[in-house]
Amino acid sequence: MDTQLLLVFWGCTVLGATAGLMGSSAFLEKKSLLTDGLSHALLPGLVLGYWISQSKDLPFLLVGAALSSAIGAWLSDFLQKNSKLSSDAAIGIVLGGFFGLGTLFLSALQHAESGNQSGLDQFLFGKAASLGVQHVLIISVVCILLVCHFVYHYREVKIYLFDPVYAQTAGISSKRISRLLLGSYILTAAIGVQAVGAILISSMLILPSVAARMWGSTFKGMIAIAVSIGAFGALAGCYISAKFAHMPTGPVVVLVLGSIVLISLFVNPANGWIKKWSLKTIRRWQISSENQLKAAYLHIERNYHPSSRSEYLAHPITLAGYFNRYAQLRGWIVRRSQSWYFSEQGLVCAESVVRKHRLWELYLNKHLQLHPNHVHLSAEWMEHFLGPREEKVLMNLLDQPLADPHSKQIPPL
Amino acid sequence: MFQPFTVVYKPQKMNNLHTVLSCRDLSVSYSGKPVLWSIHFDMPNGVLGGIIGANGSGKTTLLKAIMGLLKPQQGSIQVLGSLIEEAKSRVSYVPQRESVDWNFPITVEEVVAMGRYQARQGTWRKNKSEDNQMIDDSLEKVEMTSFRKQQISQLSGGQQQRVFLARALCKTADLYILDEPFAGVDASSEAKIWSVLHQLKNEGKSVLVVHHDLQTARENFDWLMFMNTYLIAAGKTEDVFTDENLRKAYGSNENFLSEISQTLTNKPGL
Amino acid sequence: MISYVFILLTAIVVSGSSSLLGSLLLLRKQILLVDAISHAILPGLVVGYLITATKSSSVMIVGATACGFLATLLIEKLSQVRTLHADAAMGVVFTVLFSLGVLLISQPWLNIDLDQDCVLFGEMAYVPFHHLFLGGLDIGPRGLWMAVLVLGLITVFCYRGRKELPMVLFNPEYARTMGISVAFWQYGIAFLTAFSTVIHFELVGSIVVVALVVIPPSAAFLFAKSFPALLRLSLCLAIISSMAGFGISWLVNGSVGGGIASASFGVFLVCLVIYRMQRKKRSQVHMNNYATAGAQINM
Repeated sequence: MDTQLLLVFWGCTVLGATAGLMGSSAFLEKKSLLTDGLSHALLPGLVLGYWISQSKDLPFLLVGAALSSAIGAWLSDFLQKNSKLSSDAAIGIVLGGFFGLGTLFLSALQHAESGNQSGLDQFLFGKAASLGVQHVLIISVVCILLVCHFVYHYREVKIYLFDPVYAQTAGISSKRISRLLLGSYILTAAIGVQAVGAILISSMLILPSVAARMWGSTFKGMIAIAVSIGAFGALAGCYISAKFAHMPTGPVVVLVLGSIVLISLFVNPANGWIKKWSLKTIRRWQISSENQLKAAYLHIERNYHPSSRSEYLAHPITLAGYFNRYAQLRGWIVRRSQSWYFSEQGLVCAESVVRKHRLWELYLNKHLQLHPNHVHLSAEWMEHFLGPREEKVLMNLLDQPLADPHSKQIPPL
Repeated sequence: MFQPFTVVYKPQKMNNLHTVLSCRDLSVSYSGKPVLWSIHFDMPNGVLGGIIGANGSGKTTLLKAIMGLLKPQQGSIQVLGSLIEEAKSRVSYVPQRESVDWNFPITVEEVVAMGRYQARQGTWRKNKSEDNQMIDDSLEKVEMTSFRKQQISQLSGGQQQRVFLARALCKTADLYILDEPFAGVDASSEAKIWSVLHQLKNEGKSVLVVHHDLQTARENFDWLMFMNTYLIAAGKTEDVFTDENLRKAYGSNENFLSEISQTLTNKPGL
Repeated sequence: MISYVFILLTAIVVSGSSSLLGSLLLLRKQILLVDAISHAILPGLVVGYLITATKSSSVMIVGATACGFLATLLIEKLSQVRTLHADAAMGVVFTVLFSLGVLLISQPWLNIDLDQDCVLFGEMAYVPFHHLFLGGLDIGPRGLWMAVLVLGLITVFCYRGRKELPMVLFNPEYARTMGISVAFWQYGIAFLTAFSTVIHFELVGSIVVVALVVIPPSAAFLFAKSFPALLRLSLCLAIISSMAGFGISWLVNGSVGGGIASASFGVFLVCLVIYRMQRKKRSQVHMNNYATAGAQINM
């Protein structure tokens, strides 16, 4: 691999990691879309910087971009504080207005000197391969500074992000911290603009933090994950973009990061959709088979008036109704000579459901003074959601009762 | 949301004309966490009724369930003898003042005119003068006539609440339901709102108010309901306004219930 | 010369319908939805193009509108994920869809006659070149007619909903208790947003769509006292900006879209200054009142 490519990879990885870091603080500050507005606001500054310097001299462009974005940030802040416009309208104004100005300048410039127009186009969608030594150096230095700065202010930032008002009372200037963070977002966007473009640089801030929030539950953990996702996404995107033809870097990086978000949505451990869905399905089976067991238990109770527990095992329950596969799989019912019977396990389960139902009815009646006529509905539902611990608590709370409000026997624990 | 046993009572024409609102074993939960447990009561016709309970006791949830804004998990509600969908035109609702953005570009008059929405259904600008008459009357009742053309953002809290009340009055209804109409309201506005509510009662309408202040509750309401996620008591004020009920409404003696609510929160399958 | 007139007319119609729609979105606090949709429709456009292999076909419009509407549903679904808030969800959906679209466009083997520039800046200058023929009769530029169609739809929507829309936007729960189908009006707004964005996108490009939808209504919001006033004022401001913008772009020889966006931004800044001055004056009057009251007490 040649050194130019390695240079580009290094630049992108550092950029991605820094964007992940800054993005997570923007996410927690609920300013994800502000970063989108700010990165669009880079454009007029870029074009003006180019026009003033009459060259693609990087420092000029970056300073111009950062300046115009900072003006945009100030304007959106001013609007939120001094007019009745809401924050999203303020962002929209900055985004549309500044980018509109930028396109006007850009098109005017392109018409004026048609020879040299290809240079600025890459600021819209980005071209990582065009990063030069100078640019990678700038990226590295700025990123290191930003990270050091963040680490230095880590504790203050953490308190500020969680509760800005408390931070103020704790002697931390919320205003200062929020300005520092805003500055960091702008700088990150500005140095990344050539690599991924003004339109998509904000997603390098937003996407890693969104994915990281689903995996990490602590502030530190979330930051670590966001940084790694950001670095990985940027590197992978750059690699694909360099390896294959017709792959603009910005969109590829965003798509890599987007697929990470998508995968996280499905499989994250806290509330991933796959986990949620499977738990829900299993619960549904369980509830319906619990109802069937209960029906079987009541069937025996009503028709055979059993006096001992063993009689429940002896009587067939086929007539009680249909049983689903889940109950058979769990071994709750067994088949003997063409009839279904409770297994020991199944009887325990059925007893527990009936017990919970009757205990809950009794609880509502005794403690909430509900009339016995109005306790059945709630118990029909609660019997599936009370756990063994709650069962014991209820038993003790009600002094080991023997019968429910309808004077039906409560199966002993 | 999966509801294992949603039993809905069949709506039956009520033979009891003295009941304006009846809840039957009503249970409601938000993302698994139960907020109302088996609420069961009848509210008689022609009373000024109050719902009393601590913060988070499910008062607003109950009102929303009554207005059909959220679906109960179990149980049913009858308003004026039928389901809320059929009775909507005869019930007037005043939401919490905080539920809207008061910077919205709209004048006092326009807000009040919203109350006439259903009156105009089906007819093509027929009752325009009647509408204007109604708007004038209701603004007069809450003494807001001079603010008619003002934008709502310039009003004080009490005035905003009076505008909401005027909007509700503008809709001729049999049952008025108000959610915390006295929250953040100055003394003079409070007195005016009370007088309007009493006037409604004297006209034979029923009024149901979610309320905080116990002192004024005892003086003004003639029917009261105490709740703390479950129903503590409902009945005539002199019968139910007891220390025992107050303690239950504002104390947290049912530890087990709140514990269960917590364990049920976000449980899969709910 | 006539072509300039067509461009100007199209600009005025586009900005008019954008400002009406923007007012609704602004009051719904969903103004950035248009930013999201204007980016997210790109894959829909591309797929529609691939199906028919011609530009400006109705399949393309249908595909893109569906894509935009889908994006709003997706944003809604994602906002319900506990760890995400609404604006992050929006940021995820539109950037990913937009990247997908850009990536598709840049594949030469797909032979797509859309380039990245026209995605952003639109083709206002080409409006006069695509004419619509009705039975062999030239009835003017196609773009203009499409813009008029959108304006008509939005005007009808606003007129039909002149009673319902303020209620739905101001106090949706109350509107539901009055028997209004809130979902119908809200999805109506979302659908119109997607449809108009698709049409305008072709004409002026994504960013100008955002500028026209966001900026004039926001400027009008500073002054408007009532809902109809907001619609009227933002319509006026939008028309002023589109005419001024046309002039600017002609002056500096730049893109029409960029000119209109810049002009509307300028108009907004002027409005902001006037608004601040009004407020200052009002607070000064208050101060004077207090001062005289204080003086009277002192006497």
